[in-house]
Amino acid sequence: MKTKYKLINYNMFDEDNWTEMFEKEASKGWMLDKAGLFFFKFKKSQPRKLKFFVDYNPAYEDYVDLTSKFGYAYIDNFESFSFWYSEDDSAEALQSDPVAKAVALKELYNTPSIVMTILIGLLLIIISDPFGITMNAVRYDLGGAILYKEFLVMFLLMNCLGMSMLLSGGAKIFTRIRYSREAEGLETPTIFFYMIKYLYYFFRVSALILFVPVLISAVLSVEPLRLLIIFILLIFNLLFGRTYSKKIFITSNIKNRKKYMISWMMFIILMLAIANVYPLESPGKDFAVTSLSVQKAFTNDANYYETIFYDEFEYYGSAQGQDFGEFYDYSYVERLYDCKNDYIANAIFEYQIEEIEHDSRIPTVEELDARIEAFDPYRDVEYKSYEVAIVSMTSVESDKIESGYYIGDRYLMKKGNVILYVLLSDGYNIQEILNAYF
Amino acid sequence: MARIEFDTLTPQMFYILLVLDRPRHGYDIMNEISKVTGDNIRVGAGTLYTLLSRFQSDGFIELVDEVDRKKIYVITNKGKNKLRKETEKLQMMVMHYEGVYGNENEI
Repeated sequence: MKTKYKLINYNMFDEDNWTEMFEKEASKGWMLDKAGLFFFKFKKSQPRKLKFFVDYNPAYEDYVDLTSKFGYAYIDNFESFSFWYSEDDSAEALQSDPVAKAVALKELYNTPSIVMTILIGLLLIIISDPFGITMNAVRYDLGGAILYKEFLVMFLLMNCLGMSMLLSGGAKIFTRIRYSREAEGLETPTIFFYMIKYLYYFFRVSALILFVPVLISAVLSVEPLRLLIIFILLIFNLLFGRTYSKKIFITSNIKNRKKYMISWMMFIILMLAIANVYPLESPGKDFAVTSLSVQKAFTNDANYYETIFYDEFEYYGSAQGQDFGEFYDYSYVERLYDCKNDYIANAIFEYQIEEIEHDSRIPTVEELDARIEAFDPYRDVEYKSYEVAIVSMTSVESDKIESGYYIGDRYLMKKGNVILYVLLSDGYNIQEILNAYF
Repeated sequence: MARIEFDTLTPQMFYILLVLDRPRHGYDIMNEISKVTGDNIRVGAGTLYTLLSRFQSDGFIELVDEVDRKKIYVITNKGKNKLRKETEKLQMMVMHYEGVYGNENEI
């Protein structure tokens, strides 16, 4: 038997599109057979003039029995939408009362389903993005991503999925508000229709434009075999979940509900597994470890920046008189950062300057008194922007470096991708040190 | 003013509650409504099903029996009160109408 598939256009806000499309297909000889995960399946039949309906009640046996007495036949369901047809061209709509229809639709967008969507969305973002690194990642990685992409694709993959779930959660909230207003006999403000429409629009666009390319680069940049296994499991899980979501729709059996919940838990577990697939380009380094360092890096702990931002990071310590080798037999060098690129070097440079300024700020007597009064030893941590910090520092004049600043005995200098942070001891000259390094 | 859900019944809601004065199942309810109203009010199967489950959870009706997968419902006291209040409201509206246009009809 000939079959034909059509992508399910997820137009929740305008289900009339669906019935119109089914009627058109039926008149051309394609009868709606099933609604799958992504596609409507049509079977070749005689061209017929049929009337189609979308309904929102669960298709339990008693309901199917009742409707069949009036000539309606149940076809299949897609999530909570069920599809029916009638051979009688003058058949009335299944939903004859607009208020009751709004009540039925409101039930669809119930609080647990909204909470679930938003929680899973948040969870995906949290898995990939602890401590709110998204904004920092945007800031640093627009420069660094091209160089160090393997952790980023996974990070973006989870974020895209998480963001699109949040968007659909948002759309569901507005849809619920819309129908509960209609159920109470209130007009829905036009802005709501736009909100719902565009949230779904962005949901789909973010899924297609962001998710697909990120998915492809994920497959290319991480270990393909492990990822493939997880993807196969994920597809099995989706099919498993779908089977039970269909069963929930036609029978009110608690066992099916439990299995459906299990499929959601599996989804989360598989997502966690995806986050831990390790990248190709750094064999020997577990991705989980890498991503953990990334997460810590963004908490502004400079020691962890190395994992993502530096090719080389040397921490010499500041112990006086320690022997650091041929060139480094001075005790002046605190840290040296050889950054991935100039963009990152600039960012680190700015960050370090703020730190230095903060460290060397000597509080006045009044400030100390105020601090003791406040009983809060951490109150003195005050955010200083780069511009503010730089004003209180003195520029280092040298041909060897692009830019450098000092305050007291602390020097921070940058040339290309290299940042040198020096704690100058007595008896040393900064020019000498620069000659040794650059 | 905001209307709470089911504060005012639509005609279809009203007639569903009305014909449930004695135990009936879905098909029976729809036929009875057509009979009572002389086919003026017809309830779609989807609407009926939605409203029956909502009325049941709100306590306006209760499930009394299930025969051959057919659920049989009957109105509760809460439902009867609802119906009475609704009728009083309608009577009041008719009275007010007659207060304004009552004479015109006679002429």
